[in-house]
Amino acid sequence: MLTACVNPNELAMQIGKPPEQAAQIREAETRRLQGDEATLLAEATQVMQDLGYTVSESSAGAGVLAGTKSRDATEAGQVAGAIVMAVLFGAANARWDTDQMIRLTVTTWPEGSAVPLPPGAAPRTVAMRVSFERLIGDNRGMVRHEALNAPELQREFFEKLGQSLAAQGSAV
Amino acid sequence: MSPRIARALRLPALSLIALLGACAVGQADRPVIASTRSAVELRDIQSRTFDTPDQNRVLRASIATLQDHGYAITRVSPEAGTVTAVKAGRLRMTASAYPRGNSQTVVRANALVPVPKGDAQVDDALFYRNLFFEPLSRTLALDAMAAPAREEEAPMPVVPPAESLTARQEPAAP
Repeated sequence: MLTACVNPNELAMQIGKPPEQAAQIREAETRRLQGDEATLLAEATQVMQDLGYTVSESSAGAGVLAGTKSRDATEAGQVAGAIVMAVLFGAANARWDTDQMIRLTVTTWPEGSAVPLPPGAAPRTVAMRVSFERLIGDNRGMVRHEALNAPELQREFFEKLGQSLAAQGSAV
Repeated sequence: MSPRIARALRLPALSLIALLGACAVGQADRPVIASTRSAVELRDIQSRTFDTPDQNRVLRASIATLQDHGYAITRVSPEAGTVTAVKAGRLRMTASAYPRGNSQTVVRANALVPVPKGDAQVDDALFYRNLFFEPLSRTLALDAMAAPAREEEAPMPVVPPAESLTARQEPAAP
């Protein structure tokens, strides 16, 4: 938070460290799907929009899909606490969350894509990874970040994608 | 709490708030504070060569590496071979994959972090080596070799584009 107080390189080293258990997080966020990568990304786009996200980036050529969803983050209890702080210490101390943005990143890569498929072969396997994060803004314009690693988020996304793909004849 | 204690705590609390305010991030049009290292030094720090002509494979591996490290992918251009990602709403990085001859691909990474006067270019060799190129090398299962010695064979650093970081700057979801 105290970005004014540290060297930029130290700050980058601190923020840039990979999360603990990065490999486990990758596995938890990844599913193997059968089908064409572009079709899977198109279906994932539909799911993303169904979940209320606005698509901010889409590139089938690189296997990337990204989007954001904004929500009000104001909670009555937090505002009440801020008012108490303001009474005790002055208005400059009143801080509360005002809004939040959830950011979604979907990436895909064809597994074994170096091997050309013979005519009539079964569709190739595509790995799809879905990551979520949350940025929370407060009444003073400060932003804090939270990683969202709850498996329910991935489960909801892939369940909806599975339903969508089932109709298309593909499978998770 | 007594008025006396409240008065005693008020100055430190106000100082902390002022300090935090100075650290606020989220402005989209902040100036970029370039590294003071020479162009040759910076090229060596920020670039590696990989023994593959497959630019798209290297780009996808860069994307996977960034996502593994907790970055959110914000922009990607397979035609230009570039990906931009942001971590924790503060650390922004653009990685560019360029073909070198018929058998190699050069990757250049460039990262920025917010400081009070703008966004400062990260120029720590350990940052690029330990937190990007070595993991990228493992993802690709290829050795990360030194940057090309000839300047014209190494890409120029791409400044990661700024973005709106606060929720209120984003369009509302439908």
